[in-house]
Amino acid sequence: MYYKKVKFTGFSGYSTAYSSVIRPERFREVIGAIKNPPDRHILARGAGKSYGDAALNSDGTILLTNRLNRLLSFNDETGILRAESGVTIKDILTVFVPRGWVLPVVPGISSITLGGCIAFDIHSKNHWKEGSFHDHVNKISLVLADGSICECSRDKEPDLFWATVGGMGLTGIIVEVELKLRRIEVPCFKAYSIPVHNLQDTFCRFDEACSNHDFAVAWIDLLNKNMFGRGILFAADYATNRDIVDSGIKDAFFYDNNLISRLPLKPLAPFFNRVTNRMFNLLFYQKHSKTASRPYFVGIQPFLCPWDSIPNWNQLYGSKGFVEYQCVLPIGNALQGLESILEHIRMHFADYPVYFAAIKRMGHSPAPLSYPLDGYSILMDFPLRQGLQEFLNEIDRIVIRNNGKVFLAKDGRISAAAFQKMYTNLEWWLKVKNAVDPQELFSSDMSRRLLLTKR
Amino acid sequence: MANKLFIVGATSIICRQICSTLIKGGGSVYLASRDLEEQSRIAADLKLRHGIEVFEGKFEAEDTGSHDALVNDAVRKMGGIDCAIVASGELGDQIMARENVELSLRIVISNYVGPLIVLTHLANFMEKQGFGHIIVLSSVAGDRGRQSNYIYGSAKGGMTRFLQGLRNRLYQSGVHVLTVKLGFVDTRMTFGKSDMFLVSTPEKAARLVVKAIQRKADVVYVPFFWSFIMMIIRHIPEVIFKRLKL
Repeated sequence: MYYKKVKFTGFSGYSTAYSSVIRPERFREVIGAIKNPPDRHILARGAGKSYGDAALNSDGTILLTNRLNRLLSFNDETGILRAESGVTIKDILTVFVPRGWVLPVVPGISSITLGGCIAFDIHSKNHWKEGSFHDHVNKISLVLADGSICECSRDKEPDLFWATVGGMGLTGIIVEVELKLRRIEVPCFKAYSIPVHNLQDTFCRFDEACSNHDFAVAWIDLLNKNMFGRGILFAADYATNRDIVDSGIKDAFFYDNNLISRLPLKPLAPFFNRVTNRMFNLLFYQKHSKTASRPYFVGIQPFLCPWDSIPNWNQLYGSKGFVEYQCVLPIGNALQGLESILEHIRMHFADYPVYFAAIKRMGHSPAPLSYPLDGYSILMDFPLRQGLQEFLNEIDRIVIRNNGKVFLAKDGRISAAAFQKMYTNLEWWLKVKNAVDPQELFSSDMSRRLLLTKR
Repeated sequence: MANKLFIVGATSIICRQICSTLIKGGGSVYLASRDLEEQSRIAADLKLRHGIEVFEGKFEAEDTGSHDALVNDAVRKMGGIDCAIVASGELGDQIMARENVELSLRIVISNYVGPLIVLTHLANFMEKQGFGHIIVLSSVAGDRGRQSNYIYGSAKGGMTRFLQGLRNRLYQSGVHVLTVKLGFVDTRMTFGKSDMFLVSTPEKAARLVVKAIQRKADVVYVPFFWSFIMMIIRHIPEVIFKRLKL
C-alpha cells in the first residue's frame, strides 16, 4: 500500500505532527498495514476532530479510516446496526432518521467516526440519562497488534472491551462496531430556553431540567464582567406527533449542511476578539431570554450539533489557535470546585478571557479511561496566549483537589503527573494494554506525553 | 435515473459514488468484481443507504470465458440492464512491468482484454434490447503514450479506440456509449504517488460522470480541464515529445 508524508494538526491548532499516512480502502488492507507499517508505530485516525494530540503520531504511521465506511447490516425490529468504524455519525443520522431511528448519544460534531466515538467514549447533552457512547455499543471488532481480528463485548473479552472504550485507539485498530439505535416518533426536539443568573442558579435549574427533560446544556457568559456566570440553560425532549400538530408545524425537520458551512473563516480571525465575543454573548443572551416563556421546535442537528453549521469555527482563532479546557467535577464538589475555577478566571480576566463556556450534567461511566463521572462538566475556550499553560495548570490543580478529570479528546497540554492523579485506574488499563500490545505498536503523541506508552 | 445498473469493477470507489448518485430513485444494481469479500461490504452498504436491491457476481478480467454467463446472470436477475459501467483496470507498476511479463500482461488484460470481452457481450445484449447506456472508465493516459506509463496508457488507448467503434455500431440501435477519460482521482490507485497534480475527489468525478450520462455525451474528460491539457500533449510533435521525460 502506498503512503505519503502529511502534516496533521489538532483541531485547536497548537499541536502538529508529521506522519506517514496510509488509507486502506479494503478491509484486508488494515491487517496488511499492521503487519508492515511504513513507520514503527501506528495510530488510526478518523475525522481527526480531537482538539489536541490524541490523533497525532509524530514520525509514526497514521491509518486513515475514512474509506472504511460501509454500513453492514441493520435489523429494523431490534434497531441493531453493524457498521465499519469509518462510518460517521452524520452518515447514520442521514440514513436512519428518515426511517424513524436515531442514535441515543449524538456527539456535538456529527462528522466524527464510530471509531472516534468509542476511542473517546463520547457523550451528548443527555449523559446523566443515557450514558455515553459505549452504553449503546454491543460489540467492537479490532485488529490487534499481532494482526488478528478480535471481537469484544461485555461478555466476550470484557477486559479488551473496557480498555478500548475511551482507550484512544491504543488497544488496536477498531474496524467494526455493533450498536443499538432507538426509535423516535418525530425527528425534532421540543426545546426550552431558561435564563440562569449565576452558577448556583444554573445548578438548581439543572436539577429541575434533569428530572423533567431528556436533554440539557447550559451556555454561560464569562466575558461580560457585570454579568459573569449568567447564561441560558437549554432543555429539550424529542417532540411527539401531537406536539407538532399542536404547534401547527406540518413537516418535522432535519437539516443538512449548507453553503455557509463551507466558507473559509480565517479572514475573519482578526475580528474575532474580546469585543466581538462580548457583543455576541450579549445578543445571544438577549435573543434566548426573550423566548424563555414558551417552547420552540428545533431539528436534531441544530440542537445536538450546533457547530455543524460552521464546522471550521476553529479558524476564527487564527494561526495561534486556542485551548478548549473541559473538566468534570463530582457532584459533591462540583459547586465549590466550579466556583474556585470561575474565581480563578475572574482574577485573570484581563489576560485569559473565555470566549465560550458550556456546562453539562454527567453521570457515572465504568470504563477506566472514560471521561464522565456523576457530576458537572464545564468546557471553556481560551484563545492561546503567553502564560496560558501556567494559568491552566492552576485549574488542573483545582480539578485534582476536587477529584475531577479533564476530557482527553479536548486536551493537548496536561502533564503526565496531573493526568495520573485524575485517572486513577491506569494500572488496570496498562495491564490490558501490555497484554494485547506488548511491543507498543499502537501509540500516539498523547500516549507518549501522558506516559501511557514509552514509544 | 437508472433502474437496472450493472457494474464491472464494483470495488472501485468511483463506481460506488456513481452508483449512489444514479440509483437515487430506487431500482436494482448488479455488482461484479474479483474481490467478493470486499464487494459484499459494498453491496450491504448500498442496500442499507439506498433501499435498493443488490445482486452480486464475480468478474475476473482474465477469465474471459465467464463473461457471457456473468452478463446473462445480471440480465436474468434484474430483468434487463439499463446502464452498464465498466471500471475494471489496475494501474500496475510500469517500471516493474518492464522486467516482468506477468505484470505487463495483467495491466493489459485488466484494462483492455477483459473489459473488451465483457463489453462485447453487453453490446450484443443492449443492441437487441434497443436502448441503454454503456459507460467505460478510461484514462487521459490513453491519449498519448509516454515513457512513464505506456503499458497502462496503451491499454487505455486501445480501449478508447474500441469504444469509438462500439459507439459507431450501437448508434443505430439507440444505445449510448460514453468514454470517460479520467485525470488523476484520489483513490487507492494514486494515493501516496508523487507527481500527482490537479487530483479530484471520487465524489466530484462521479458527479461529472453522471452529468455526462444525463446529457448523453460521447467522450468526457473528468474534470474538463484535462481536455485542454491533453490537447496540448497530443499536439506536441513526436520529434520533440520523444525527448521529454513526462
